[in-house]
Amino acid sequence: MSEHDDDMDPDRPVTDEEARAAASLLRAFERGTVDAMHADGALDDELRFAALLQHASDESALAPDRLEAILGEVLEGAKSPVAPVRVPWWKKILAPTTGFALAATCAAILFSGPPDALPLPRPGQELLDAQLSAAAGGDVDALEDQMAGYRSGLLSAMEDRYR
Amino acid sequence: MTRWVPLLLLLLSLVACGDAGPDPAAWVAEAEAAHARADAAAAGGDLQAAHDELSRFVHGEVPIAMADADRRVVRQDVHWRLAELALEMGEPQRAIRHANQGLAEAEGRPAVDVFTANLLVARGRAREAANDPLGAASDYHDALRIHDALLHALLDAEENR
Repeated sequence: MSEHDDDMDPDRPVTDEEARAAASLLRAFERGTVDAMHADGALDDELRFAALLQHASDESALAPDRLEAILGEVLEGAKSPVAPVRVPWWKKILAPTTGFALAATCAAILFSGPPDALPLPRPGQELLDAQLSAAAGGDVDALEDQMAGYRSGLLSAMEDRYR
Repeated sequence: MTRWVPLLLLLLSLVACGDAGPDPAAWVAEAEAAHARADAAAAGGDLQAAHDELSRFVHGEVPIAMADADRRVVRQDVHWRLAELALEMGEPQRAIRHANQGLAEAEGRPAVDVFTANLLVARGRAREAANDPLGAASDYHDALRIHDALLHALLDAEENR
């Protein structure tokens, strides 16, 4: 069991110091006024707190300027010092850059679909004749020759289109 | 944990950008090169080598940032040549498979163009060789309908010139 746990034990005997503090508080309440600003040493906090409690029940127990002074000290003590958070320089750059890159990528994916298809060149009479001949059981070589020229023109145009 | 969020977002962006497949222009150039290599192999009498050149291309990665119709015609043309090479090698069933794969590139919306007509003619010839005259007649009929439409378009263009 720790020292702190010992302090919280309700059956623990009262120390001399605590008995003195309790007596001082009792006297302060019995007097009706607490001279908190001039209380001695270790009992300062207790007496000032008692003065505030007394003020809560009787507003005339503390002068306004005294009340302000005590409240100010209490509130100052209650404030926990907060160290300013330092953000590394690279985070200041990376965060907006990453956000922008992600937004741009999403926009590119969502709003820029593939381009329109290239209009196919109109097949010539020779190509159509060769195709008709192949469908009628004729020679396919003529169709392959015609397709070589048609293909070459189409692929060249398509390559230029996507370059 | 939060310190990794920007890095994660950056990685996701890179993955999204990197999933576009090959460059379309480079892919089209590769198609031309594959046809040229197949031509050279076929001219030398090595039909299997010609088939392999075109097969390698058609099984390669395809570009995403390209119009569907452009991608379709390039691939259909290669499938047509593969079907004709298979027929020339005396393999009608393989020719039918290549023709079917080519026609499937249209995803159920057959186009009226020379590439679709070529595939139908090749499949008709393959079915004929595989002793399926009815199937062959059906393919020839479909090819002739496309041929008729293309011929009318050509004649209209000639008249309007």
